Amino acid sequence: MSDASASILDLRAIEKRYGTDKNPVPVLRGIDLRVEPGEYVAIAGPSGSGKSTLLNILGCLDRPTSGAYFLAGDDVAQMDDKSLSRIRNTRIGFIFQSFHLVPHLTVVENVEMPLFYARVPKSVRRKKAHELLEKVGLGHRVKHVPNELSGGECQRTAIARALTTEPALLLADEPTGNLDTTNSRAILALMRELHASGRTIVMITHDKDIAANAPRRVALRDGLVESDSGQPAGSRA
Amino acid sequence: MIAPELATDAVKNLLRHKLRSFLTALGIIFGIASVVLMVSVGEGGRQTILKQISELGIKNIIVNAKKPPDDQDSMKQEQSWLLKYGLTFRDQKQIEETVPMVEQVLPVHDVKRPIWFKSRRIEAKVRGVSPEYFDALHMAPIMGRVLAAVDGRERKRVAVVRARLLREAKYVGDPLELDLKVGKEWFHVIGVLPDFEFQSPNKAVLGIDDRALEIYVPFETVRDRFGLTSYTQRSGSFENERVELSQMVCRVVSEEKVLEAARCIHAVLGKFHDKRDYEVSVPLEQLESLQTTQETFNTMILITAAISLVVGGIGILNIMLASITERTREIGIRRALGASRGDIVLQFLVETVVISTIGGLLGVGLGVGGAPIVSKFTGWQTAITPWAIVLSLGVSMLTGIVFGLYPARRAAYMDPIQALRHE
Repeated sequence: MSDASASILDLRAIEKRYGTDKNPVPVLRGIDLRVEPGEYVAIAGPSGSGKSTLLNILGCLDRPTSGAYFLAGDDVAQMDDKSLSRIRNTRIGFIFQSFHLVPHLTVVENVEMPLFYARVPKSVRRKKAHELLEKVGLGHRVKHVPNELSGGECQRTAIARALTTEPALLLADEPTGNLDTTNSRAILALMRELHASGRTIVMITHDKDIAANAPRRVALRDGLVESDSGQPAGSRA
Repeated sequence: MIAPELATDAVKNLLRHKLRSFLTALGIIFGIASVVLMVSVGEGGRQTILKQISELGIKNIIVNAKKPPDDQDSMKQEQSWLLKYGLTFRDQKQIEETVPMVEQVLPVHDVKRPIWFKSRRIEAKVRGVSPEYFDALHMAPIMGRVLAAVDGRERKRVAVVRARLLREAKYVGDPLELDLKVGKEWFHVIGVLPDFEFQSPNKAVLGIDDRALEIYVPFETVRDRFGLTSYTQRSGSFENERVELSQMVCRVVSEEKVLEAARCIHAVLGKFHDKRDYEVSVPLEQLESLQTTQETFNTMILITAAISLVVGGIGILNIMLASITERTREIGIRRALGASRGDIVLQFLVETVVISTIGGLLGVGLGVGGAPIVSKFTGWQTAITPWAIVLSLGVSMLTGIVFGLYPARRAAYMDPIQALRHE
């Protein structure tokens, strides 16, 4: 099924409606979007533009009402829960606005969690988690619990966690929304670094300045793509 | 398999809220403890009864002479006369000859004479028995020997006593050098039998309450030295009684024939006795009726167990539902990171099973520890059997599964998007 040459994301006429059949509330009204491997895309839009809904669909937490969604070549639009869980586990790394770390688990336990659901043995998980925590500069914080960390450290923990299963796509939802300027800069720098090392990143934000960090920017309005800066020349194909 | 790791996590989780976890398990703890206790009381009772009945011999039918009730007419006629009742040699002969299922009838004659050790009077029962009596009632000496055929043939004045008698007599020397005076005759102790192992209220039911203080002497010695008539002084007047046989122990060829043999014995005795001056007791029958009682008791245990475990289970259900609401966001996070619904069900199911099993273990501990205390205060025998423990633990795990399933499914079917937004 999975095709190495395929786009990471390939959305075709994605629609999402809430409400009843008689009284539908359309949120996404036909989104077409392709993201190639190695791209760094910011999806920006004001509140109500449907970006949260799009994020949930991109993250396989929700299913579109209609349309096709290929994630790294697999049609995930109408998969069942078990398959979607597996896709989330192996293909997607989430980075959330409010970090979403499990408060009673230590940093290293949080980071290794995706590998637990991938049924990776504990020793392998630990090793991988330690490596990634070193990489994001938290090698000294592994035994701490999230409450003992600063916001920036929490987000770096979450980024390390998002990387554990080597996902095809990093999906960031307002990653700097809960951080001060200094920490925001650090996180954005880290994301640029990840992009430079070949990661595919989709970042969702309402903030134009934050979106400006990404080489490609997609603007969303009223459930439709309003503008797409397109893939900048000179970036990897 | 992720279950073992989930179990470790569950234990850590429970340790984060020690008091709450303990309170959650409390219902199970007491439920299981009461089950273990009731089973041990039931089992103790059963073992006691089994032991007693096997002491009477499952293949035996025991016929006891019984003094007929005093009815006014006979009292007037037989006042100051000899009161004749009970079993006779003719009865013995009739049964031996006409009931084919009975291979042997052992005669027993109780001597009503005071027993003396030095100047101390001992309240005990002297039974004249044949040598086979010991074998039929599974009595083995702990010291010396039981009676032999030669003792009867030579009318020897020898006795086999219960160990308890030595204690009652406050005798500390070598038991086999002890002489006892029965009436006017001296008897030499040749053997000591162990005490009855169990003491319980059931003894009276089985009519063996005074067996602990019996002295056994050769039947022939009793018959020829004391005769079969006894004189008892009762509230100023003398009473003369003639009882040929106080008891007959009928040995039946096999266990299957016991009930049939009992019917025949009833028929034979009924022919020769117009008064009910005997009673037939069939240990096997008693065993069966006690088994029925046991089944009733088991049903009671089952109902109690079911009720207490439902109560315990509801406690767990309640706390787990609260815990799931509290951990909604964690569930959302786990789902986003790739946990399937099955993984979430498993996580919470493992947690309830861990808590109910720990509760079960504590309950077993409480029950096992409490059994001797119950014994001490009620005088009931208790016995802890391995199967009771295994069963209790199994049941507590099952309770965890049954009452954990609903909260676990509720957790698994939460919308991950809503769960992530939950504060």
